[in-house]
Amino acid sequence: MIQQLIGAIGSVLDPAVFISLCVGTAAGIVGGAIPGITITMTVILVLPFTFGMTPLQGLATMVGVYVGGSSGGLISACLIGIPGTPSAVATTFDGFPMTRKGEPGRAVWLGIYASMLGSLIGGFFLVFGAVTLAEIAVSFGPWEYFSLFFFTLSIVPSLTEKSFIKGLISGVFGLLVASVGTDPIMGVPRFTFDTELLKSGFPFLPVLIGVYAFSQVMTDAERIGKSVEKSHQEITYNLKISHLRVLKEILWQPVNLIRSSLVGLIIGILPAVGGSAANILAYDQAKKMSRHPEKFGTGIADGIIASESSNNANVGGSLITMMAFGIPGDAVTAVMLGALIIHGIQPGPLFIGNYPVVAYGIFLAYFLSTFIAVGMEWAGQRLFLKIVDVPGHILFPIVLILCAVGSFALNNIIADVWTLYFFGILGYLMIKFGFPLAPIILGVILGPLIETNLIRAIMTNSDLTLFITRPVSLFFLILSVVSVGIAIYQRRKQERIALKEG
Amino acid sequence: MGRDAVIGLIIVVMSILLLFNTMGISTPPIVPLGPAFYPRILLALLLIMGMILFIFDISKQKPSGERKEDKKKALKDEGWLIKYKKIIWGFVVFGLYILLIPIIGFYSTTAIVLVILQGLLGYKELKQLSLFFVISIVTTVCIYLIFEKYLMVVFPKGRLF
Repeated sequence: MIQQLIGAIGSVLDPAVFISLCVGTAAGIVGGAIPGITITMTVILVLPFTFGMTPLQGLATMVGVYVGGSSGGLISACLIGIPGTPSAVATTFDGFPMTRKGEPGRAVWLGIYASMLGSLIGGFFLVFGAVTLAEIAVSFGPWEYFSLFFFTLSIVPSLTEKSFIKGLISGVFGLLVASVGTDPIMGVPRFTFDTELLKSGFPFLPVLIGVYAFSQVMTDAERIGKSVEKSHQEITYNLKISHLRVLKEILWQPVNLIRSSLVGLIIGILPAVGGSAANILAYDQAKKMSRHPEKFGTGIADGIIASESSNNANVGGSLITMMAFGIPGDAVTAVMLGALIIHGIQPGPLFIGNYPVVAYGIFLAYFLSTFIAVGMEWAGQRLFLKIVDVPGHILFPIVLILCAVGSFALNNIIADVWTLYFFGILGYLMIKFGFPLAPIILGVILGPLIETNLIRAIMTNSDLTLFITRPVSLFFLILSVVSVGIAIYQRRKQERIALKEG
Repeated sequence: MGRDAVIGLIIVVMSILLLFNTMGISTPPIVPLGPAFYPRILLALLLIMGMILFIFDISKQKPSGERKEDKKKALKDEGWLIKYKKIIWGFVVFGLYILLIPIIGFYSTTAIVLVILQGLLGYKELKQLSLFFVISIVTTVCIYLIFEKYLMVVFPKGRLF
């Protein structure tokens, strides 16, 4: 393992890869800093540029976006009180008050260094976790894969805040969308309604871009023109601080730092749930376990450290799931999976073993990007405020066009842009009617895998009890039942509390 | 009937229609589980969940006292067409955009649509138009240089460009 890491150093320091990594990190920081542009959107916008690159180059760029974006969100969170990305929501709770107390530099740099340290902790687990889990997963048969994917799909509705039944509907609908086209085993056409458009099914990237990016932009567009407090224009920003002092502040809170990073890491490993949940949960935990919970929200370092270290460790966690199992840890890793497939690389437990240069290159890129992000943020401090002020009515049309460009560039067919459009409308309606988006994406990605493994298992041995008698398969199925049970129990509890108060 | 109940019904109807459609999927004779097996499981699940959604929403309906409050809320919500006017137009414009790309050409339609969308979302005064045009042209040129020249992704040229 260590040998391969050292071996990968050469490939990542290759100028083409290194420059792509830097550009990706910069793009991530900028995209992350602009409120309304999420990390997912940024990586989607970067994706078409990676088509002409080698796999390592392309993945390194996206890892850069991912790490940079998780850091960039804190900039606007601290300086103007609006989180640049959903993963920086909890950073506003203490970051913005600290800025208003006259310490913007301390707020921003506490965030940047906490991000860096959280990233490093996440990276440590990434390398050892991914390799170990992949080695275990290689011995899985179709029963184990089916149960793993089944568990993945069952856990996601329970993790979303919205209605559980809507989450399940969203997931199963995603599975159904994935079954349009030809069936994966026989190649028989299904649900094609005799149209050329549907004969090859829906490629999942335009679906993902439509459901996530397109619908998100339209939702954000609703808010254009609503007055935003421009109080930050009055404050002149001096971001100069003693970096050593800030670092010491963070290291003086090791328990908070490590606990928050672990929260982020675990949430990252959980499929389809990302930094948006991690930072809030870590902040909540830090507040509950603090000796001075009443100070949270007034502008203390603890809150920023908890939020920022967790959202960066979350990246490591998501990458573990993606690299060890081929299951997306969140929307960003879903796009990365798409990129791997486009480059002809099959994701899954065999990925690390079969493509060590790419895999270990990704690990290294993650670490390098962590430091590159800090360097860039130090160099670009004066530009921060300007980035944050780009008006939505100019930005959003550009993003929409780039979504179309990205979808078209995949296969050079206009049909993919129509797919983007229809799923964009669908995604928008889903947001409006309270259906979570994550399960549908998971369903679209896992659909063919679930079906293939189910049919393969039954065709290998028609004994259905094998799903329960094989221990690993049974383990995942029990986890599914338990997670669904816990989710229903928690909903009932919440409803009971709401009834009592109402 | 609340929103969720309507959606539940739509899901139920859609599932039934698609289940009928699966009868047309050809099944090779020697295989134990045909290609229709898995989608039918999914559709059955959707059907059940659609019904659950419908029942949950109906059971939340309260007696006529509450319904007056619902009506008041509904009247306020009638402004939704106006509120969402920009978004609806945005979708319409984008749909037309995709339709026209192969006919007129990607770059011309992109440049025009960029101006339209910027205006749709943020138009306040006439002097903004020049900025919209500049941004539109610059963006389109950048896309051309990066995608067509560097990445060699060829966009449809249509009648214009």
